[in-house]
Amino acid sequence: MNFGEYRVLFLIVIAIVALFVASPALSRLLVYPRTEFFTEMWLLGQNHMAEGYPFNITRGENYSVFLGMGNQLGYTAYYLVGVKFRNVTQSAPTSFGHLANRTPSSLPSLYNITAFIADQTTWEMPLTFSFDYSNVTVSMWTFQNATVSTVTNKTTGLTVQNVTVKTVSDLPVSTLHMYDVTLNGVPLAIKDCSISNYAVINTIVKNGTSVTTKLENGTSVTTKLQNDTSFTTVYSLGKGFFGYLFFETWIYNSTTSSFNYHDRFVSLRLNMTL
Amino acid sequence: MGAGCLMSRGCVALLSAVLILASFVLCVPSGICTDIAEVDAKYSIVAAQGELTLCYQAVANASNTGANVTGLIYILDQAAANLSMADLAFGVGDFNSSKSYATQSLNLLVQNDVVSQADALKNEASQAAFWGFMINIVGSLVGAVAVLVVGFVLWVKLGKRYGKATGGVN
Repeated sequence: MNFGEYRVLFLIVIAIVALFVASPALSRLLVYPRTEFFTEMWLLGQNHMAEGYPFNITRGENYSVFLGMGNQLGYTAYYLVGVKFRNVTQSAPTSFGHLANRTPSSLPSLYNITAFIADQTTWEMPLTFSFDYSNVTVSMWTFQNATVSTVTNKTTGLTVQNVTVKTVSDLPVSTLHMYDVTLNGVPLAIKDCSISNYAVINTIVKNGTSVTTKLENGTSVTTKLQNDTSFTTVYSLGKGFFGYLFFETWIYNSTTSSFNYHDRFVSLRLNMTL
Repeated sequence: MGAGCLMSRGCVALLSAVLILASFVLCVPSGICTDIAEVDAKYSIVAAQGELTLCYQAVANASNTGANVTGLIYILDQAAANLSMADLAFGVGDFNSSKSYATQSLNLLVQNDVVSQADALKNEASQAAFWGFMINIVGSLVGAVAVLVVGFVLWVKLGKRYGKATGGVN
């Protein structure tokens, strides 16, 4: 075996040794850069699993959940979690769709939880809460219930709104008044929140729309609106008094020195039992 | 002299009592005290918020350079929790508690000297990052090039020696 036959073996040994020596540099230079920066947010049940969430609520009884967040933003973030409570008809936050269309709830926070989370780390907080609310009061409603429908004329292609108005008498509406939620031992007053078994939605109908009014004797009268008019529509919410305890994420923006809605929230749908 | 001193002390005590009574009579019904307490609490909250933001930015800068800021984040969390309680108390009109919580928050940040600690950690991390770069990147790349050069030289020398030993025939 002459010297030339060792050539390949020599080259392989030298290459392996060179790669071994260069490995600390290569391990840093050949890392695929992070391209997705986001915040995780979760809510776990009392057994620290994604099950066993409280639903049927009894006044004064304690319920436990775990609120958690994970920071994958590439920097240490300063979060503010707004604790809010709403009924079915009050303003809800959004977390889907185009970023510009995602909005927080317009309701004020009952309490703000602050969390400083380093990059690629998580944060979790056990939450124990209980509610205080009144007994149900029943009242009889009489109102003009409107059904607003949009009809397109196949011949002309024009879209026309039709409103049918019907008088509803003596509808039994039950209402439960929320007083406060105690979160981790801190009582937080819930202002201006009552939960009914019917939801009232007001719809503004433009002038020029034809309105059919059904009279109590069964006949109907059709007229055209002369002004923009608000009509009431009442929806039954079924059995139960539903409210939402939700947690909105806000993040501190160092450039503007203010907190911005961070486009995500978690929510618990709760049925207030008596 | 002694009687004068006693008289003087008595006068001061009497005057203080009259002033306190007068302040109660004037202040409480007019709501001035409440206003002062409210402004005082608000001022404390704003001061604590400002300090918290300052500390956060220092900690975030330190973290960006690779410093371990776990201890400082714990202090920030504690201060922020007190500040949340201050906000809550302010919201329900309990201005004394509000001020107390805000002051606790501010003291926690100031006494722990969070900004200085964060700056020190940032400097340490910057130095560590520099030496890490020099050893891990520059050092290992220079080492790899040296291995290749030494290998090449060794190859040439061995080739020459082997060529001489075999009389140039291989």
